[in-house]
Amino acid sequence: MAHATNEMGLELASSPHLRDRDSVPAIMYTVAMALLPCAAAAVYFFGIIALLNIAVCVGAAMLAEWLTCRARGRPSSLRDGSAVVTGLLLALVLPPRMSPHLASSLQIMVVGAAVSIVLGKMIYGGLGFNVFNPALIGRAFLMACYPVALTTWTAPSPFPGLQAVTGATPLGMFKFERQLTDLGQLFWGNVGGSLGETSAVAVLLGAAFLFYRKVITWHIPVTYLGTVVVFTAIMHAVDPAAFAPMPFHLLSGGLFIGAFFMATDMVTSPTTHRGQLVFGIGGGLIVSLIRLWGGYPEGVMYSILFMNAITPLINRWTVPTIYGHGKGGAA
Amino acid sequence: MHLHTSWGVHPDPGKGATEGVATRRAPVPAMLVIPLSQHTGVPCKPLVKPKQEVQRGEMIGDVDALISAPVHASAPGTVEKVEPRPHGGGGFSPSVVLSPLPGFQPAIPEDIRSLEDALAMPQAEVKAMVRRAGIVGMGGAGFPTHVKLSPPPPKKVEICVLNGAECEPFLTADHRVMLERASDIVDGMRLIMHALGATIGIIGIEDNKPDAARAMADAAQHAGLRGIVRVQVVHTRYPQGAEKTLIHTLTRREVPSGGLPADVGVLVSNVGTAAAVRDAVLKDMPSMERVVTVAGGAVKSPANLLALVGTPVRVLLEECGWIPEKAQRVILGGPLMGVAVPDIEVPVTKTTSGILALTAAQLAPAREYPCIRCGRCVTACPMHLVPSAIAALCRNGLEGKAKASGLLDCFECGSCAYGCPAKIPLVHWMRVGKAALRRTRAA
Repeated sequence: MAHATNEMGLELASSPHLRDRDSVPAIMYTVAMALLPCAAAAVYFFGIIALLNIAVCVGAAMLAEWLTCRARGRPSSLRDGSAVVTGLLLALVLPPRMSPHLASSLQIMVVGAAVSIVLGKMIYGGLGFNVFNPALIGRAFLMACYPVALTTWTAPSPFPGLQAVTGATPLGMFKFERQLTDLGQLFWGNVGGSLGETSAVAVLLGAAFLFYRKVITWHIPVTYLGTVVVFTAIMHAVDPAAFAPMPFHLLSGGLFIGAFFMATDMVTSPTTHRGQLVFGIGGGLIVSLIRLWGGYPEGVMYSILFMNAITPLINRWTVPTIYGHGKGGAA
Repeated sequence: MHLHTSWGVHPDPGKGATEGVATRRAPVPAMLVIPLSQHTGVPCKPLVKPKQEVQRGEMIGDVDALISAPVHASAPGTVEKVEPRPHGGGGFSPSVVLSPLPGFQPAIPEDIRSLEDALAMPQAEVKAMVRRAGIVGMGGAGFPTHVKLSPPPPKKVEICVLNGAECEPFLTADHRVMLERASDIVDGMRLIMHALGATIGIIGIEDNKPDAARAMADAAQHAGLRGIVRVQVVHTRYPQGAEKTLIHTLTRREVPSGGLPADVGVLVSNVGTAAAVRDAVLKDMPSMERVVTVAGGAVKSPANLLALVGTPVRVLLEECGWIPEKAQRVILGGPLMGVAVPDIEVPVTKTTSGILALTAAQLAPAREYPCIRCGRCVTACPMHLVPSAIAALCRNGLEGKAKASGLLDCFECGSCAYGCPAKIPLVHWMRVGKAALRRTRAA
């Protein structure tokens, strides 16, 4: 907004004259900081390759954003910080090593980061206009193009190095071999899985920071996780042989990182608290359905992408009743 | 007890510099500029001519219209000119320029009738006195008080709310008036309730002013109003003191869209206005001076000053030691709803609650980013609008759709724009949309 300054040196501008200090980049870098415990856990469990993956994904995401801005003849939008968050999230939700050849694994990550930014965000008009969570768009694209690589899992190694030791995820082991994983291992993260999702405690630390900084509210995570808790508990009670116990579902896979870091993405989730409750419950139902009866062992990504798709509808259904228009008014 | 509210923002109050300091008289300026329009409604016609001598309290402007309020000379002296002068609300307003009698020292007149006698007067007579004294809402809107005292039948006001919330940052004028004139405010409230036939009185005060709440509760008890008038402490949260939000907080009633508080049986009056009503009825003293908070980063000694209506803003800023080169913006009113003025010669009017000289650091220009749909504006809006969506419609010239989404229910409190992390000037776009609607209507 243009501010005019007159000959007395006094500025004219429309109210409000005070602004809160928070800003879009501050929010983005708060999210990035909140992901540091996950990144640290990834390095602890999977070794130095975790840092390499993160650097490649963040770098590729930033480069893709910069190139897109140049191609559109627009000023660079890197300053808003969202490309860093997208690159970081993508690295954390991909398998640590997707190919025996390190270069191939990293190459897949570069493709994923570029797709996240270009097809996940910039093509809609940039930050704020995207329908889907960009990092999940990138992951879904890779899932379709490199299905084998995306399901190549590495067991966490006590002597982390750059060589790959294949393992399986706890959800995969249950789905295909009916084998449960120890809950303590799931909580601390010493299990196979995507880079940043294996440690529940690391995700919770970051989530606590997001709550403290008021970047997220309870509405989506609590309803999302709560729905999974209720649904899986009921199904386990109905048929313990076919369905894993509730705590196993709660702590395994990408449920936590999805609930706190991806479902809560401001751009792609509903605006009102009421809409966020709908989003959380809907997402929780979908992830439960996929995990319990679907072909895939894990359903967090598709549950969030599906709810992203219907977020504009949820926003339309949950427009608040304006003061003076509802039953409270005597009109 | 606190009443639950679920909207609003928490700006830094910035009231510490002035809330504990007693109000003092502002100097009488060399020249007074008294606008003939200091209220919502029809502007007054001048009743005086240049060279004419006037007395303090003499009516100098009036008009025969339903919604209007007369204006009075705030000092004895000579009318110099009657001409358009810059006005704090923007643009020019016909004004009476008055040179005060040399050596004039303003004083408050003595009571000429007792409260008991006044409460025995017919309601119409009290309302006529309020009109004659030119009392308007002193919280900022400037709606003529006598009009509010006469709700069109069959509407009936049963609850009189006094607004002592003072939710705008920096402003402490109402706070000081409550501390210094608590029993006068209660007297004024009784006169308002008498004129309306109201049976319930509620004084709403934010919980950051416990001393004011105590003073008002004591004054109400002294007046023997237990069970009739109560003090209700409310959360400190902007815009608690907005008329519609305060009504909802205190009574759980919602003023219908496009309606008036009288539609739900409520009248809201600022605490300062209540004191002015007392002065009007018991002293025959018109509205011609008020308490103004002078504050902001470019003001060395912030203070509350009792200023004559017509005193140039410059005189009050100088009295408080302002630093012109540090002041980037001068605002009349509070920092969230106040108006930036281009010229510090504009006068104090009946509705000037504050004069703020804010520095560049306080205003911190911020880069605008795209809306990230964080929903903070939705949470903040006291009217339960979706400001981001309405502003986007206005920005794109779709004010018709914006109207259907509640554009006209926005009263521009600024909570949405205050909290927006993308620094989108949401209220500005609302104003653009409303202006476009007015143009369509006029065409």
